[in-house]
This record gives sequence, structure tokens and C-alpha cells, in this order.
Amino acid sequence: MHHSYIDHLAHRPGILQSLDPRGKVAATIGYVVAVSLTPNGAVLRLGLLLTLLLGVCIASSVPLAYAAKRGLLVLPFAGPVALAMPLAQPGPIWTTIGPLELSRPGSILAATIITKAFLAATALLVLAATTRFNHLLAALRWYRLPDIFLSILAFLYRYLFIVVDEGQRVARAGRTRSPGRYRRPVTTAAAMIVGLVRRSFDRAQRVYTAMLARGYDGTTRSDHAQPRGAHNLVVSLTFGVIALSFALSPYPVILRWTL
Amino acid sequence: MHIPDGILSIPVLAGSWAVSATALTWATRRSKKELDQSLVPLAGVAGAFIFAAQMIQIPIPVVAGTSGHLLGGTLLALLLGPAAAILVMAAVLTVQCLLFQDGGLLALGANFLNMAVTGPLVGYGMYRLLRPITGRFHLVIATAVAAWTSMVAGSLLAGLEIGLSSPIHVTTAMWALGGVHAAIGLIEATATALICSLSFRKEAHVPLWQSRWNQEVQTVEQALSPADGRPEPDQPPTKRGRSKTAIWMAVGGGSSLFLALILAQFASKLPDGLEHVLESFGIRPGPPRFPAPMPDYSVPWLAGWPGKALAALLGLIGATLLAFALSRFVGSSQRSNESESPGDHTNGDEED
Repeated sequence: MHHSYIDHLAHRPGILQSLDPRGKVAATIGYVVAVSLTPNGAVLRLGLLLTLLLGVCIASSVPLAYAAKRGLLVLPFAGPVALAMPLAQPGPIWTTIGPLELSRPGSILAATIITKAFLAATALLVLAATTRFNHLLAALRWYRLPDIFLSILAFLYRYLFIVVDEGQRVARAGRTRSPGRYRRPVTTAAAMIVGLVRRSFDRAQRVYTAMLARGYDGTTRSDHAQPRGAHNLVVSLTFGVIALSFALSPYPVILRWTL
Repeated sequence: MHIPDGILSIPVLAGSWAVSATALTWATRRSKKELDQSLVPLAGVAGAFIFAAQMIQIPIPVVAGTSGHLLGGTLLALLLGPAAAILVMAAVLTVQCLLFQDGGLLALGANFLNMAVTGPLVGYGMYRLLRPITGRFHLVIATAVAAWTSMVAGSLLAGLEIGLSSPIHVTTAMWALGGVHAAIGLIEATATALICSLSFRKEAHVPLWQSRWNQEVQTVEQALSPADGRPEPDQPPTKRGRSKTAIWMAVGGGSSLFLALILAQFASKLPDGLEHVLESFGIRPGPPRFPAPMPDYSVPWLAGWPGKALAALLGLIGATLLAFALSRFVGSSQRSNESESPGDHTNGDEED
């Protein structure tokens, strides 16, 4: 069965791939905070934040089309919420579509919301794509997240691909048995889910007993050297600080231009 | 229901982080006591399954053209216990946020609150509230109601958060999200009830898989370390005391009360579907032949919101009493064949 691992870009050479994961986590949080704090309609600040992200993507060979595609996955939720804004926010009317009166501040708010959601999601994607999951977990452990939570997280990741595997088998079986039908009845879907539970559970159990047989004692060991070092941290933190300064800069003349 | 970054305002973000961090801390402490090492992978695979099940989009029969997916908080709470369920749901949401950009990083606090904390707690509370209605059929009803309630409660919270941090009116946002998820919740209820009815033993509170998992894994562990003589806890089925039951029933009762109070806000704001259709055809219902005790969901002698709330509360009590009465009626036919095997929970009666 075929599926793409999410951290497949972590094996390419690049700036982000060589940085300490602890620093990357901090910088990403800084960037997302910066995006969230940007006021409505601050086109220039959002543009600078986007440029920063673009630069990082290019420097660490993250394909831009891939990043954009994954970033746009926020639309199904952010889209409807944003579309409600031009109607909900009072203000001068910008344009009318049929009976709907779209207010100007509401439209600006909608555009800002979508841009912010896109930027934050893409930043997370860049972090996840360029960091091995084990290293990410190690970084989170360094930040003192509880062990039990992290080992659940590790097992979840380990078993995710097993379940997806089994899910693809179940889905394929479903397709071959009802060709040409896109929508399946609720009862069939529920039966498929129950079957999925059964199969993935049994297989996960076999995986775990195999892990025990090979000496698993509750700790994760990796033979991949983890990038570490003070200069690494400095590079990442600089990124976060730059992003925050874009968003927070009170009133430098350039950054004041808003819609 | 995964809220992305950039929608919620800073105070809402801070507040939701505070609440869900508290709940997560409680869940961590609790799970450290309850969850031993060999059960951690079980939690992991349950999470991975929930993750995969959330990817399956199921068409909603009620609302044409929409589809929804499972949340699974109630299911996890029933399989693993509420504390572990909170942690597992939080892990699922974290992976979705970090690796799949589903839900924002700063909004993770709100998403934890809506799905990881509310789902298991409300679901488990409702289940414990309804559980005294015994019997296999009623187990299905109890799990279904618990799952539906937990999903709607979570979506109402999401609506509240979005409403509080945007110009959209709070009630509008709650109404929109709650309405959609009341329909999606039917799928959640069906799936949860189905999976639970397949996985619970007849009368025990312990899920089938958990005990089977323990058996097989412990066999391997014993084979690996015969000399150690590791103490093998027999994992007695969770025997919770009466006080715990009371607490969980209180949580369930409290959450349904909360839900009733919130729903009371909406109760007669919009005409319900039937009335709407009738009015659009120009049919005005005449004076009712049988005067309802509480017309339009409000107590006649108490005007305004408190009246509606009281009406909702009375309706809730009435529904519960009705459910109890029904269960006595239907359950009497089932009890005869259940009482035949009282020691049933020690030997597995697996259905395959």
C-alpha cells in the first residue's frame, strides 16, 4: 500500500532541515503569534510575513505549489466563517450582490481572516515537512510536555499509517463491490468503520507484540543524529523575532499602510 | 469543527487555553495512575483509528448535499475512560494541527476545549447518567444519546467562541454550528452506538478489546521475562464506587441542563420546520384542541428567558422519566435471558 509520509522533505538538504528542532518549534510559535496579532487590513505587514515564509520555503527546498496546496486546506472552515463577515460587520456598503449588502470593513475582515489562516497553516506545514517526527517529539519533550502525552502521540503516529493502510484496503474493497457509486448508504459506511476498527486493532496489536519481542521498553531510540547547537537556536529565534517585529512594530512609517 | 488560526480573538484564545490546559493537566495526572505502560499503545491505536475515521466523509441523510465525519470523543471515553480519552483526543488534534494543518496552532486551545475536553466529558457524563437503564438495547440508546449530546455541546461551544471574537452575533453563530452538527451528530451517534454495542460485553463496563489486549500482551510479556516475575496486575474491571457514579451522573445532568438552558434561547426564535411549511402554504393552525401545558416552550406564568429555561428543564425531566418508564417496559422482556448468565463477564463471549 502506498502513502506519502508527511515529513518526506526532511531528508533533503536545506537550511530548515539543518536547524535544531527546539528552535524551529519556538520560531514557528513566534510566527503564528505574529500572524494572529496582525491588525485587520494591514496589507503590508501580512505581505512581509508572507515574504518571510516564501524565503524560508525557497531556502529549504519546500516546493511552493505543494505548500500552497496544503495551506489552502484551511478554506473549508475559514471560508464560510469569513464569508459571513461582510454581512455581519456593520459599516459603509462596499458592493451589493442581489439582496446582499457587503460592508467594506466586513470584506476587509474576511480577506484578513483567510490570509491569516493560510499563513499560519503554511508555517505549520513547513515545520512539519522539514522536521523528522521523532525529532519534533524530542523537541516537545525538551519543552517538558508530559511523557504520557508524548508516548501516546508517538504511538498514534506509528499506528496512523497502519490504520490508513487498512482504511485504504477497506475502501478499495468497497469500491470493487459497488463500482460507479460515489455515495454509499450510511449503514454500509458504518459497517466499514467497524470493520476498520477490528482490522487495525488486530494489526496494531501484532506490531506492538513484535516491538516487545525486539526489546521495546517504552523509550524511543533513533540512530539519526539530531541537529543541535547554539548557533542553530540563534538562527531560528532570529526568524521568530523578525516575524514578531513585523506584526508588533508599533508605528514605523512603512508599516502603517493599511487598507 | 477544526477552527483555524486568525479567526478567534486574543481573549477567547487565552480563555480557552486556560480551561483546556487545566483539563489536560487533570487528565495527565489521572492517566498516570490509571494507564499502565502496556495500555499506552492501545491508546495510540485508538487515536489513530479515530484519526482515520475522521477522514471518512459520510453523507448526511437529513441535510442534502452535506457530509460530516466522526469526532469520536464519546467513543474514546467509553473505551478508555474519560481521562485517557481527553489525552488521546488531544493527541489526535495535535497531530492534525502539526502535520495536516487541520486546525490552527494558537486555536488549538479552543479546539482542545470543543472536541478533546467537552466530547469525552459530556459524552461520558451523559452515558453514566443514562446507564442505570440497563439492558443491551438501552446501552445502544445511552451511547447514541451521549455521542449526539457531546457533539452538539462541542459545536455550540465552537459557535460561542467564534461569535465572541467576531462581529457575527453569538446566537447566530451558535445556531448555525449547532444546527449543522445536530445533523452530523446523528452519524456520530449511529457509529458510536454501533461500535460500542459490538465491543462491550453484555453487562460489564469494560470494553472487550481492552481485556483482550491485556491478555495477549501480558502473555507476550510473560514469555519475554519469565525470570523477572513482573507483577502481573489482573486488571480488574474498573470497579467504580457509588460516589464516582454520582459525580459522573452530575456531570451528565449538568451538561444536559446547560444544553437545555442554551437551547432555550433558540426555542421559539425560529418557527420549527412544520410550522414554517404550514405558514408558507397559508395554513394557520386553529386554536389547539388539546391545550399544551407549555405552549412555545415557555411556562405561561413566568415570562422571558427564565420561563423558557424552566420549560426546558421540565421537558428534560419529563423526557428522562419517559425513558425510564419505557426502559422498564421494554427491559422486562430482556432481563429474563440476561439473568441466566451472571458470571458472564469472566469468560469472553466474543462475537466472532
